[in-house]
Amino acid sequence: MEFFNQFMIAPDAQHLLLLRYLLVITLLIHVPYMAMAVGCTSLSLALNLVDRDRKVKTTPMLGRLAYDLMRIAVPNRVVPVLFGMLPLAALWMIYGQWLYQSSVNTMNLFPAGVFVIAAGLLAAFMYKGTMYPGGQNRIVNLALGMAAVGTLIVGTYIVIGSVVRFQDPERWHMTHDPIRTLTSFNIIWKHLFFVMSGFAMAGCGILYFFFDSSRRKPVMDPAYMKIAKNVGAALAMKGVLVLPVLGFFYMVTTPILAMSTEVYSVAIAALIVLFIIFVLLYLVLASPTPRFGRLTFILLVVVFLLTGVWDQMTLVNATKEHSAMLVSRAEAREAKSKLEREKLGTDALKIDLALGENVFNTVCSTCHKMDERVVGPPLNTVLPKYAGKYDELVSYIQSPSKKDPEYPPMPAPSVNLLEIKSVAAFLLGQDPGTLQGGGGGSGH
Amino acid sequence: MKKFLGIPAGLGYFGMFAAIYLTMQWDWSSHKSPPHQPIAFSHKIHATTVGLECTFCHDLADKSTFAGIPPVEKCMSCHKNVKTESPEIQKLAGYWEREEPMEWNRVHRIRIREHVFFSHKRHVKKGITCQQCHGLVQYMDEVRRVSSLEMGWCVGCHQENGASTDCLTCHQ
Ligand code: HEC
Ligand code: HEC
Ligand code: HEC
Ligand code: HEC
Ligand code: HEC
Ligand code: HEC
Repeated sequence: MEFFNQFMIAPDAQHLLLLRYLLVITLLIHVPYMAMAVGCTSLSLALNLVDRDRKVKTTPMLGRLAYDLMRIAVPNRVVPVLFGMLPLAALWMIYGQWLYQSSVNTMNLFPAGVFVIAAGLLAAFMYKGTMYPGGQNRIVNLALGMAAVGTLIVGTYIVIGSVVRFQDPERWHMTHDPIRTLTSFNIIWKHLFFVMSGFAMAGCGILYFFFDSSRRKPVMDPAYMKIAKNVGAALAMKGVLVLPVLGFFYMVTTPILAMSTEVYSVAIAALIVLFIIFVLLYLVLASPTPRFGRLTFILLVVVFLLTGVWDQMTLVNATKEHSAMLVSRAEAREAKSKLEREKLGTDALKIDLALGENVFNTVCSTCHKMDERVVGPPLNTVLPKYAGKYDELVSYIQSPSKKDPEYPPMPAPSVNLLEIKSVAAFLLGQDPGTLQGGGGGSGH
Repeated sequence: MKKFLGIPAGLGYFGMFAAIYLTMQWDWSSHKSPPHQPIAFSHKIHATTVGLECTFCHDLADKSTFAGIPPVEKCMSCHKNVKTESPEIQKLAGYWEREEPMEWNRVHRIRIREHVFFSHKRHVKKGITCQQCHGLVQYMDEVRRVSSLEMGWCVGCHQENGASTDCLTCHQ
């Protein structure tokens, strides 16, 4: 993390809260697209491989579907950058801020995964470019397709793996070995979940973009339409049916401390939406014409929203103490800079015995009495040390150091410099008049 | 009508998973979530706000097998005077007056303790921090288990630190 931490600023409580929302939004932009790109490219390659129509010079139905799938996956140059690469860069920043100064090292693997994904999207683009109807060299085309599918699968595995690692603090210390970092059933199930949701997304993508979107083509060959509808709905159906199983194994392998009752509730909500999609897809398969394209597509995006919330929750649960630490440090920083800001003006401010008494009664009395041991020593026994050493007492209260092994250390109280000076004057019975101006005000 | 038989079948399928997920949720909240304690004792208050050392309370950690949970007297050495108006502290004082030991719920327990030799002393003396094994306890309000305490976890760290991984080190 050291390398990475240089680019990050230490977050505070509001900052962390903001990061949580940003995470869900970024995941919602990125994951459905990325899953669909993986699903469409894999399906396109599979269809391309089994496409026997090509030899019989009739309408190459499957080849055409393979091509149309790639038009969903990488429609142009802008979409993969906008939905693929940019959100990944944002995720890198979000996770880096969230885990600021933690011992987890997988933020170094994350960019490696991003590069592989970039290569995969590029290969997918070239695969599309060399396809039917324009493409001549089938071998080059198939090789590009395989390269695209392979790199996309590997790249998403690395990215998912490095992120899933965050929810497993017990293994953070192992993260200097990339192979050991990335071998875990938890990661494997999560990645399978992602790929299968990608197939569901590709299936629903066919139903939506071919038949229900505003961009749909006015005329479509009925035979082709039937094939596309059936392939799309059947594929989406398989994805929807297998997701509950993968979700189950993913939850079983998630570390206990990343879970909470809310996570299970979100998973059950996702299950209900999946059931609705199932019913719709069933009706699509049973009817001769394509229907519900837009609805199933939107509902599937809702499932992605729920899994994004789920990921956010497990991360919050797993990093609870780490976040508490960041917040507590931010508060300490804030208190310190407040103190320093005030220090500039204090010499002119009035040191006030009444204020000192008030501070003593509200702050110090938690731990001190004059004649009795509480948390700290009875002040009657320690104050004589400070007789005539007003400045020393002020600087001790400002930043206490270890004194007596009989007692625990005194934490720095959260009071400002004027209050410290006033309470010190009150305790030493000093006349505030003698402390005004230069002399006593110089603190340290 | 036969055409629509798939919908009840799907309802059964997804219903079964909903039941499984609900069971897992129940199992988590009743068996796996961190236990609640009889008194809302917070490590965050004592170890971070008040700034106490871990061994101030767990004074056996560098001397014996067990780290030990502090007795009520230790709490009362401060709480006779601190926060006496708080209902939680009054509960604490109740235990002290009745001379009743506090029944803290255990968070860490090696599952087959009788077959495993584990000692705090050996590890703490070597300079391994409490946090390496227990997580950032000083930022927890309620203690939860961060490490699994399974064999793979012990052995993993022993390998990294060149400590013995012989079976007889831990199983006698
Ligand atoms: C959270 C508990 C706590 C609070 C609040 C607290 N103290 Fe202390 N104080 C201690 C402890 C514990 C010691 C003993 C420290 C040691 O011996 O290392 C101590 C020691 C001292 C000493 C003796 C230092 C020495 O040289 O031996 C002085 C003076 C003192 N506190 C003043 C104050 C004043 C003034 C305040 C209020 C602004 C205050 N304390 C608030 C816990 C506290
Ligand atoms: C004020 C005294 C006190 C201090 C200081 C303290 N603890 Fe504790 N600790 C307790 C008490 C009381 C319990 C039992 C109640 C509970 O589990 O919350 C406990 C429980 C624990 C447990 C769980 C024990 C189990 O049931 O398995 C761990 C681990 C632990 N402490 C570690 C630490 C560490 C690490 C520190 C230093 C950062 C620390 N403690 C500081 C009082 C203290
Ligand atoms: C070194 C002194 C010290 C010891 C020992 C100590 N406490 Fe405390 N405790 C404090 C102080 C000081 C506070 C108040 C901190 C604050 O909120 O400013 C506190 C706060 C609490 C509170 C919260 C009270 C409330 O309502 O805000 C509880 C509960 C508590 N302690 C329980 C315990 C128990 C149980 C033990 C024994 C394991 C214990 N304490 C040991 C100093 C101590
Ligand atoms: C090498 C890992 C390791 C380190 C270091 C370690 N612990 Fe533990 N701790 C354990 C294990 C394992 C258990 C469970 C022991 C059992 O089941 O009997 C445990 C249990 C405890 C308990 C529950 C009571 C008991 O003694 O069984 C407390 C309290 C505790 N630890 C506190 C501490 C504190 C405080 C420190 C730092 C001084 C510390 N531990 C350092 C591994 C460790
Ligand atoms: C964070 C790292 C770490 C963890 C986790 C850990 N140990 Fe250790 N352990 C060590 C180190 C380092 C030593 C060597 C200490 C020495 O050389 O004195 C050691 C020594 C030991 C020894 C004494 C070995 C000897 O040579 O006599 C035993 C027994 C032991 N550990 C048991 C366990 C058990 C059981 C667990 C799991 C519950 C465990 N340890 C978890 C780091 C760890
Ligand atoms: C560093 C300490 C350590 C070493 C070395 C170690 N074990 Fe273990 N072993 C444990 C702990 C701790 C457990 C308890 C695991 C649990 O509670 O889940 C355990 C449990 C077991 C179990 C019971 C598993 C179960 O699920 O009930 C067997 C069998 C076992 N160990 C065999 C071995 C063998 C064989 C070796 C030598 C190759 C070995 N152990 C070396 C710490 C160790």
